[in-house]
Amino acid sequence: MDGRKKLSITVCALILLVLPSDITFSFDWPMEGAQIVSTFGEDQWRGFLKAVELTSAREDFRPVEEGEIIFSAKENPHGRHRIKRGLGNLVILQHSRGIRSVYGHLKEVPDVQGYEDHVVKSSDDFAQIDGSGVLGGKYLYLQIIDSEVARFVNPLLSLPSIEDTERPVIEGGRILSAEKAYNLTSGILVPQGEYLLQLDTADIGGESDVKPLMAPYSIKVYINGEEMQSVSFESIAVNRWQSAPTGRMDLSYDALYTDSGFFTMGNIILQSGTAVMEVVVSDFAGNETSREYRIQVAAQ
Amino acid sequence: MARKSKIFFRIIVVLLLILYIAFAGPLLDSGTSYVQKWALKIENPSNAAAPQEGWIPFVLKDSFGYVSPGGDAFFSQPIQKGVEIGERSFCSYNKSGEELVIRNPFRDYMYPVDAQGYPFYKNGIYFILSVDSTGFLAVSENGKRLFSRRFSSLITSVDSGGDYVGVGLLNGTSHLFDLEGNSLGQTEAVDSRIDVIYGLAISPDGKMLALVHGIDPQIVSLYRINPQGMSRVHSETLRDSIRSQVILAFAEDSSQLIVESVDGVELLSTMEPYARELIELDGQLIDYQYAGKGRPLYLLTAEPGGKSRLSTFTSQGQLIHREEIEGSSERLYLGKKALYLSVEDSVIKIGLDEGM
Repeated sequence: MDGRKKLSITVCALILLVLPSDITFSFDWPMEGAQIVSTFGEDQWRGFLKAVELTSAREDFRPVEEGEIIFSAKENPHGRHRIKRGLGNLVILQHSRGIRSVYGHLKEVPDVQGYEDHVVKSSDDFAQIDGSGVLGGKYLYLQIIDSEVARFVNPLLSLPSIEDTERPVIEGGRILSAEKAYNLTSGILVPQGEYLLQLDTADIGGESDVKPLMAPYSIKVYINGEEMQSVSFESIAVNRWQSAPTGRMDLSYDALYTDSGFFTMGNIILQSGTAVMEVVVSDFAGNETSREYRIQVAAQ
Repeated sequence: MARKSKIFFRIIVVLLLILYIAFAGPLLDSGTSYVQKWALKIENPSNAAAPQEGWIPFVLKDSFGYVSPGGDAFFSQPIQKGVEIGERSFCSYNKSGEELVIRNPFRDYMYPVDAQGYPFYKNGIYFILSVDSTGFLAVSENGKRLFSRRFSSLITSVDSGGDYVGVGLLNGTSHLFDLEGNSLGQTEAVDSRIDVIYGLAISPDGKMLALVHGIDPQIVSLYRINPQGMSRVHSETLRDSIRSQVILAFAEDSSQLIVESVDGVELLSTMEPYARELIELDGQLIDYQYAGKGRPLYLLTAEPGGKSRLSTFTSQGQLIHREEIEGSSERLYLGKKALYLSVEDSVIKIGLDEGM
């Protein structure tokens, strides 16, 4: 191989490496003025929400990208042989690169035969938002599945950024030993040992009128400057028949949402002395809130 | 005086006719070989009786329950979200709509199910599908929690047969489990441009699994279940693709497969030379009853204009009889020498001559 070829290959490889991952698939919002009412990873119906839920003054919506209709289902199909679904009327599109998008809670299932080669163009208003399924309001359930890596991907990773200046909130937290629970406040005194850490935190809906409380995008916990626990909702995969955020496959739904209202982050070990715990919570727009707790740890 | 009597008689006749139309429910056309025994309009669930073993399950527009074979008594409840009914039990949400329960109304047992979702009943097992259709909890009819599973894709079809449970997914894979949830095998997407499982069935004897999968082409594949897992023994390309859940089922004797297709139903033999018969239907398949080779195949379809059609075919796919029914049908049940149809707000019993 001559030097010029080597240089070309190296340059190409470098370009590929520095390309942001979200350029590999960039979608459009299904409707103008979309407001997020529930975020990816939230505790919903005793499971992770593996989608985002959107509302808008406009009921018609488009696909996030041109795609082929590969599956549709009615909320209440006739007969005993077809599955009834909590997502109500739904349709699923196949895009390139093994990406599939799921749209739930539709007013009606689009007519599959109405599209040439079953392909819905990115400019086509192809369905309407409705409250079909379990929802009480008119929300669009939007899910992105990366079939090639078998993951549910946070749709916000591939949608244009949305204006959001609201910071997440950290209401508090607690650490639990086998014997006792301690509310997190600065200056608390606890015996040294292993504790289960639970945090009460939420993201607040950005430009939404109702400001719903939603799951943050990322939670990180540092003790004396060292990262001890973290979780982020970039994607959700399945391991041993349990779904979990891909960065923390040990955090199944039952493990993370053990107690209602808390994120159970996992165990931390507190050594005697002063432990400075910093909790950093961020939303998808990059707004960040942090809180520091100074914990006095007594030797036993 | 005689004229007055005539007018009075006419009024009575008209009133009786009105009452008959109002309360008798939808009827089969007269002069056919389906003999309608009775039609019972399920009007007021509060008039329900305590059900007894042997009563027939029904599902109507607004209610579900059991009716006596004689049509003289019924037990019914209003439909809330997600109701499934078997011969011995039903699964529904309680009155507050928050708690899912399995109820055996014959023995008056109630089993709470610690799950939220939509029940789907198959051969003695309730699959409580998660709201997002990516997982399920399997529960026996007597409320025993069998196992739960989550998947990295949406569930498109699920079935049980023998001692097995099968699940088909949007990503083109299917999974076979035993009744304790142990994984016994998996099939991978093959042969098509787009990989999706559209239908899955396990034979009643637990020896075979069938799949309808893929687009371009859409294929029906037959697998033999063995101790090592599953091995594909045959596949057939279907004439066109259905892009939603396909009704796929084995005959009760496992000799043939019933495959919903774009223009009707295909009957596929499960043994060499895998004979294939196309039954053309105008409407969409709603329900079927089929004991197997040499027995009649009953198909219930939805027709335009809110009508239904009940058809009888031979196991070679030849039409024996076909009849239109006013109203939308939900369910076809085969009892002793009779078919029971759930139509709109009525249950109809049709006497059967098995020799036809």
